This record gives sequence, structure tokens and C-alpha cells, in this order.
Amino acid sequence: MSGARLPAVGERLPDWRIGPFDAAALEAYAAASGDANRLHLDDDLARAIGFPAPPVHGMKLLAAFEPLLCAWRRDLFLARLSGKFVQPVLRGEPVTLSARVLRSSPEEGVFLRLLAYGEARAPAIVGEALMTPPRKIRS
Amino acid sequence: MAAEPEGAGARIGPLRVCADEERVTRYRREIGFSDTLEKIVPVAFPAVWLTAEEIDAAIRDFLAGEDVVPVHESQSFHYFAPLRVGESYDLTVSVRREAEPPRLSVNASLSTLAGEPRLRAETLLRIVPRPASLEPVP
Repeated sequence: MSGARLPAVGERLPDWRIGPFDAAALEAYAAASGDANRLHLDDDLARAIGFPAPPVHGMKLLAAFEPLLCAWRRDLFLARLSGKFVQPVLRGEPVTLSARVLRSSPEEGVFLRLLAYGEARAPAIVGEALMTPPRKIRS
Repeated sequence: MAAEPEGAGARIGPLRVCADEERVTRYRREIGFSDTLEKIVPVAFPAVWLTAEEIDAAIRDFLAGEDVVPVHESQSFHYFAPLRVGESYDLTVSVRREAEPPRLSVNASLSTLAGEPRLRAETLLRIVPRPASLEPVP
């Protein structure tokens, strides 16, 4: 990672607030992504499952980490992104994305812990990212 | 292309997919990029291709006859090189059932038309009993 200043382990990115997402936003994501799951769009179906409102697509939230990470370090490539969907964020809830550097080295690149949470402040997504210069990408 | 049985799993593809510029731009906007003029394929964009009917049908086949629903438990994208707007790729997917915990593992590989690997992606779908209040999908 020559020439690029590596972030320090423990560095926290500024929290990134997104949403709240309304029904039109969820319809738009469903159309753009091809995710036809009615659970995200149908109030009656959401209530039948026990949610007071439809949950936001987990993939919409996981994917939203990329603008955050790119804004932080445009010189690095997001080589890996993963997330576990722990609990839903419901339509109308604001969402906070946070990220913290777990490991950072010229050999490995920069590993980050990702967290997304809604109003409940309990994690909705627990994820990881690896950012590297493009030439460092490997299996 | 239909899913081919492969022991306890199924293999789908290769499916020819394209990082279509209009679709990439739309997806970038929906995940929060403010500058959608930038021609970069988002890391999570292949999720669009994973909604293909062939893959959906394979998942339905695995769950046929069971009173269960799949719930998206986790997702990962692992790149070997970035994707390029406008380029076509071959997508191969395997679907495998895991017993404990009960779930489906959907593993996708994306390569250039010359066979160079670009991405591995894993989708885990937890299989849960269908809520009593939820009608079966016809």
C-alpha cells in the first residue's frame, strides 16, 4: 500500500445517517434491485408476520455502506463486503451506519467492522469490509 | 437454464449477465450514492443478478412441499477485481441445503467471458417455519 497513509487500528468513521425510508423509497429499491419480496412493500403482510411496518430491504442497508466507505477513502477499493442481518429496520426508521478499523496493514489491507442500527440502537446488520488498493486484491 | 441436481445441491448456469449502465446508475442512486454520474459498479450490485428467475426457481424447488419460508440471514461479496459498467459476465450459482441450522447456501461465482474470476458471493437463507398468519405462496 505504498504512498497511501494507512488508517490506525481503532479509527472510527463518522457516523453516516440514512433514511428514514418511506414506501416510495422501498418500492424504488425493489424495482432497481429486482427484489420482489412483498414483505418489504405490503403493510398487511408485514403485520401478519408481526411487524408494525414493512422492514427495509437488508441488502439496501448493507449496500449503503459503500458510499460511506468510498467517501472515507476514495484511494482504496472495497474488495470484500459482508453482513449478517440480525434484526429488521422498519420503514420510517432513521438508520445509522458506523464503521471502525479492526486491522490495518500494507500486506492485508484495511479490515473494518460495520454496524447498522435503527431506532432501537441494537444492531440490525453486523458486517465486515476489506479495503485494498486494486493491485492487492487476491483470493 | 434449469437447475441441475448435483447430489444434495443444484447448479445453475452459467447465466450471461451484464452490468447494464442504466441499471447500475439506478442501483447506485437507490443505495445512496449522491453522484450517479460515476461509472462504477457497486460492490453489492450482483445482488440484482441473484434475483434471476432460474435461481429463485431452484430455491423454491428445495423448499417445495415444506411449510417454511427462507429468510435472508447473511450476504457476502468477495472480489478478485472490480466489475466494469457495460461488460458482460458469466454467473454460475450453486444451491446447497444445510441441515443444522436449517438453511440454504447460495454460492455464486462471476467470471469474465474469458473465464477470469471476478467475484465470489455467498447468500445464506435461514429456513424458518411459515408463520401461521402467512398464507402459502401458490
